[in-house]
Amino acid sequence: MSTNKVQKQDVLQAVVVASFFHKNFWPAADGDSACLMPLVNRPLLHYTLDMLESSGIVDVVVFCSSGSADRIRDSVQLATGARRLNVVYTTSDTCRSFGDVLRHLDSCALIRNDFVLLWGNVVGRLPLLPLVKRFKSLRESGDRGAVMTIIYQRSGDPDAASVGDQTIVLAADTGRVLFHNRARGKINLPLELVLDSTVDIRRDLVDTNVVICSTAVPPLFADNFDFQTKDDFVKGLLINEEILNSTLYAHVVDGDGYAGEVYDWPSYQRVTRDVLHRWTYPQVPEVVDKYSLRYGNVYIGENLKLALTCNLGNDTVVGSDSKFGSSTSINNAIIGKNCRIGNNVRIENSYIFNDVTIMDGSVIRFSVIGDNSVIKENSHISDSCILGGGVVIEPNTDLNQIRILSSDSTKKSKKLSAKAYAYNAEDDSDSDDDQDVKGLMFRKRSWSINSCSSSDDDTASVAASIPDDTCMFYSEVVDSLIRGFEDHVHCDNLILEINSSRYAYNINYREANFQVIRAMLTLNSKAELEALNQVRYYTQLQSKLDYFLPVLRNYIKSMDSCEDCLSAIEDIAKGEELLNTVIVKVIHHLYNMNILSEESILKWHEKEEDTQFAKTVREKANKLIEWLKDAEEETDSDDNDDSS
Amino acid sequence: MLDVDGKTHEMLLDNYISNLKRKKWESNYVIAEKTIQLFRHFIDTIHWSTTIELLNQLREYGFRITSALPLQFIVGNIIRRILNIVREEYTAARKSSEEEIDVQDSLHKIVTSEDDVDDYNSIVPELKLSIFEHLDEFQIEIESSNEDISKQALEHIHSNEIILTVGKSSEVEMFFIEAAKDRTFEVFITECSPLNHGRQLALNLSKHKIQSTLIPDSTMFGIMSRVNKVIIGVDSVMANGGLRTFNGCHAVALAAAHYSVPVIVLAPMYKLSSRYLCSYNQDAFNEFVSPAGVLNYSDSVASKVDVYNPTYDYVPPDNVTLFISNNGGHSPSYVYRLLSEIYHPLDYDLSVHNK
Repeated sequence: MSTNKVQKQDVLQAVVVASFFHKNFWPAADGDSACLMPLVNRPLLHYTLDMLESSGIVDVVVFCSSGSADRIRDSVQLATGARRLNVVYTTSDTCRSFGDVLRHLDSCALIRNDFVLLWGNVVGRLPLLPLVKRFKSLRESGDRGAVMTIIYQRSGDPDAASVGDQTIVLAADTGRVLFHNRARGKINLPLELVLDSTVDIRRDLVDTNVVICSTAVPPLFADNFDFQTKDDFVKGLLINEEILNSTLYAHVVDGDGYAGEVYDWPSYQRVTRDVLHRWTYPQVPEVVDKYSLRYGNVYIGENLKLALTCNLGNDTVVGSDSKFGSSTSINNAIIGKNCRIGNNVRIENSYIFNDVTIMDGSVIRFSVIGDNSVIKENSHISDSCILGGGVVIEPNTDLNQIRILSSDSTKKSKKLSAKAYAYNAEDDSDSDDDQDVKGLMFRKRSWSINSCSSSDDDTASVAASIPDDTCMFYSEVVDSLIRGFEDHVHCDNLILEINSSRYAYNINYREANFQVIRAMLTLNSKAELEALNQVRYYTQLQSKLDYFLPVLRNYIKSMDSCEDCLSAIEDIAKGEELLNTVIVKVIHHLYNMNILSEESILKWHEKEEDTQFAKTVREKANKLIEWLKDAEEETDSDDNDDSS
Repeated sequence: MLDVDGKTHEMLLDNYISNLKRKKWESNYVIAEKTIQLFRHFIDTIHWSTTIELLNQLREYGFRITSALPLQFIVGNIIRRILNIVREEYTAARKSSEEEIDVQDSLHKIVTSEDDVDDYNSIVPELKLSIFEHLDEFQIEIESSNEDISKQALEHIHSNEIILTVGKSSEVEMFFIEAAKDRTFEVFITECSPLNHGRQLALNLSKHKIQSTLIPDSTMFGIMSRVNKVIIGVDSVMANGGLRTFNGCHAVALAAAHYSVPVIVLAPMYKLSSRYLCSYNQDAFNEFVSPAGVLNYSDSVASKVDVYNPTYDYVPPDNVTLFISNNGGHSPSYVYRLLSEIYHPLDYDLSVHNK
């Protein structure tokens, strides 16, 4: 019977990736089993499985890392929706990214048919079967190369952190994806797309992380070992459309369903709110669990002990068997099961997990408190504090924007008390710098929304202003140059190195010029800069520029490249005070070395700029320009006049 | 053996509950049918020797289902009805086996004789068979209830009348179609937003050449003065004769009361519920579904707006003129009497175990 079922052709499978490969929720949930983190008192993974079950999918493959497999398996067995699912678990220790998971799937040969691929963090209600059917008919009738339908949710909420993150160009009639870019700020759109009236350019879409894939997808990942994430995949396919002979389609959910993805704290807040506001119906607390709904989206569990003067505000969930003292007020918060809340406690916009004890007089705002924690009397915890499981906070503690663990595993944390260690983001060199870990969004008095970020602000701002690949290319060039300068590597080899990274990251010629110059001007680390004064800074910079002369010659050849070079100098000077003071000298030096041509400098100077900074720079350069113009007239004039 | 049965029962219950929760079965009629099917299977497979064992087991399952689905009144109705059928069959079988009852039994004798029947402890042969026969009858009653109701259409709809209805209900549709065979009349149908299923009814009626006009919900009051009768369907009838029915009906009922227009409710017997509206817990009586029908997710600045999308309205019994069930017409005040006829008083509360 069961073998018959397996051989049936139209069995639709779903693959749930239950490992997130990020530490966004740490320390409230660790990376391996973050999909078991409660969202409205129910593990995230249960929502995902329920969604699959209610959309009529029977076969589910759950991928998890072997460390968390047992916990996930136990939890899934408790899920009511999963009982009707045919769940197969697959584990691997070597997988470090989404791409690895698909390569693992490919090698296990678990996929027999078109399948739905999603993370274990999707909450919602989506009619998947019609979408799969449409995908199939698309492949049969029109486009044989269609490998994936990406499902997006349209969102009009400007607060949603991820709105406006990505620009997608779709063919209006078929929904085919023509262009995809995930970058805040400026992007480059090919002109033919902008002029084409049959395409939609959309910036209002949010990822749901649900995709419908054909069987061709895992082999594609296996063939292209550099695909790490879904974005890599999308990008790779769009660039090499002809070679790989594969196309992508998009489906936008608007009105006919809801799907939200929980990948960091702001999205956790957003999806929690949507669950309480019942957008995910029937996945709402009182349908999936034993709650009763009161007016104002207040969900009340069973067996509660509420003091008479205890006040429950709007958008609140109180888990079963919890106890609340008198004069306690709870607003906009989720309280887990079996919690003990004392008298005069105020909890606002916070997420309290199960078995937490909060003693009299404490105030908790915009924070997350992990399982089994104890908060003693009169403590104030506010503005994006994330507490791990089992933390004990001593009385009268004041905490702000901090992550707290119960034990000191890394030996880098600051000890607050016997069972509370503050995690220090700056000291942690192991964590990836480019990963921007976001805290909860919280409101300041001014009613503007702030998000707290735990990684260094300067890396974050750089990462936000330029696309990822360019950023990677830039850092690689910096590495090459530093090493080259220190080890006295021959410049020809450096050029070779830079060129190969240029191809690896698919950077165009002019972009490369720009980044190389930027890299060259920013070789000094911050600490070194502080030690240097203006004069020494310039001499050091000059020696470096002299050393890299062959590299410069190689890249800065034409009029265009001179332009790139100048704009790079200007760009760096904007961010760095020291360079700003010597910018004219640098330009002049480059002119003397025959890197920059005279016309290019004049042209740069004449270019109209709006920003205040650009104007002041050009004013500074006035003297140089005059001199250049003079020099043009008397070509015999001595070049070394002005170099001091 | 017993264990295997227990497990399959668990699975069946689980499936049944999840199907209902996921709204796989849309209409009350289908839900009723599926419930009978499920309990027929239970009666067939539960190992019982005395009726009390069977009753207790069925009550336990019934309690599990009704507590998991507090908003599906129809399920409770069917379960109570089935329990009553079991009790009735038992009593009938006991009576016929013990003695030929004197047709001229005195009232006193009937009252006293009931006492010793109530323990349900004696073994009755062939009880299963008679229960199944009765269940078949019950199923046929449900299947034909719409037809039975529509047979009474000519008594209520007269020529050239203007009738207003709300949304779409299969009973109302059949009722109109039946009446249209003999009479000509005009129907106003409110759209019944946000589901807007009134549109479907308008389409269906126009296929049967019934003069029908679709109106927005908001214009209902203006039309009401011209209307001769309001005929509506219902989700379930509460024990006091009030209605739990689609959103928007209360407004219609109030407008009808304002213009003294009679409100006729088509309610097959299986929609009679033994439950009252609990005034202190209004929200538990209603079902709030996704606000998607009211507001698009993409349009809403979702964090700043609270959107509610309730499914039902409560219409108090004062605003209902007449119920038409498959057994004929009843006034709201008579509902309690019907209830005690079709349900056994011991089954009103399924959680209490009687020995």
